[in-house]
Amino acid sequence: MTDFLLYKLSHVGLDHVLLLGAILFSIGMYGVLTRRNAVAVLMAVELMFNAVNINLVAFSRYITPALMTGQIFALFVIAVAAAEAAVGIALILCLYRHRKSVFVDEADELQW
Amino acid sequence: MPDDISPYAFYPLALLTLVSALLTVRLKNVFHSALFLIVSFFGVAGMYLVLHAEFLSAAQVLVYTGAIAVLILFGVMLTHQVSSPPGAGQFRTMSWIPAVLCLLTAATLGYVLVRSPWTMSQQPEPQNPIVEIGSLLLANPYIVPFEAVSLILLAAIVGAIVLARKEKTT
Repeated sequence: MTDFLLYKLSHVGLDHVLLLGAILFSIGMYGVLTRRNAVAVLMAVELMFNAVNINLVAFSRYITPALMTGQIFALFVIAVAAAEAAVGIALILCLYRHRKSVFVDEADELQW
Repeated sequence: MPDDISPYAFYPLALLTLVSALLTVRLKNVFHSALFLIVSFFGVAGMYLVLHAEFLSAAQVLVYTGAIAVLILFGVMLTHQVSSPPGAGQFRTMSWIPAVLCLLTAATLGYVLVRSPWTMSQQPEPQNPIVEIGSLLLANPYIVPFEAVSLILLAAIVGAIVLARKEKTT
């Protein structure tokens, strides 16, 4: 049993990278569920994007290395995440201008 | 079959990424959270290098730390909230129900990912990956998504400007 554990720890393979992606995704999910500041929620969403990208690149390296599909996909995820972060920050600025607060639990009315 | 990743490269980078991600979601000061987010972006860029995705790691540093993180810092500084009184501790109170949910998610995802029988490829990696990415993006088969992404970015630029400009006070 310990031999198996030592082998698994010393030979890093696809499983380890996927586990890293899964844990990073869960940490981002905790941030999205917990933070009150809208900018902090956006930061946690970016963490989730990064976790997904790590998984994509790991699959690309181990399963389809010649096609590089995962890397291209991850590149597009980065570009779309940049666009989404820009629009998200602009929305938060709008919210701040009207309400003087960016806390997500205080933004609970569509009109006032 | 790709050769195994060196554990001396993987474990420090993974630890850096995870610890800074944890600090990002747990610190009270939003500005400190943003700074640790930048550290985790660099950790992810290092992970891309370990996975032989050099172009992607450069794109990660340029786009994520160079643009998105700066945008987030601008957002933090422009929406400055009153900080809590000093001496109240560095970390926010721990919410246990989301923590348990996220632990369950990580455990389920990890179990499914680790126990699935992935068919490892026998193909060798391309000799010049950057040339490969260039020819994939600018010719078949990803030229159409490439142009579509530029449209998405244009729409995002116009939308962000329209949303964030000062209202006319006439």
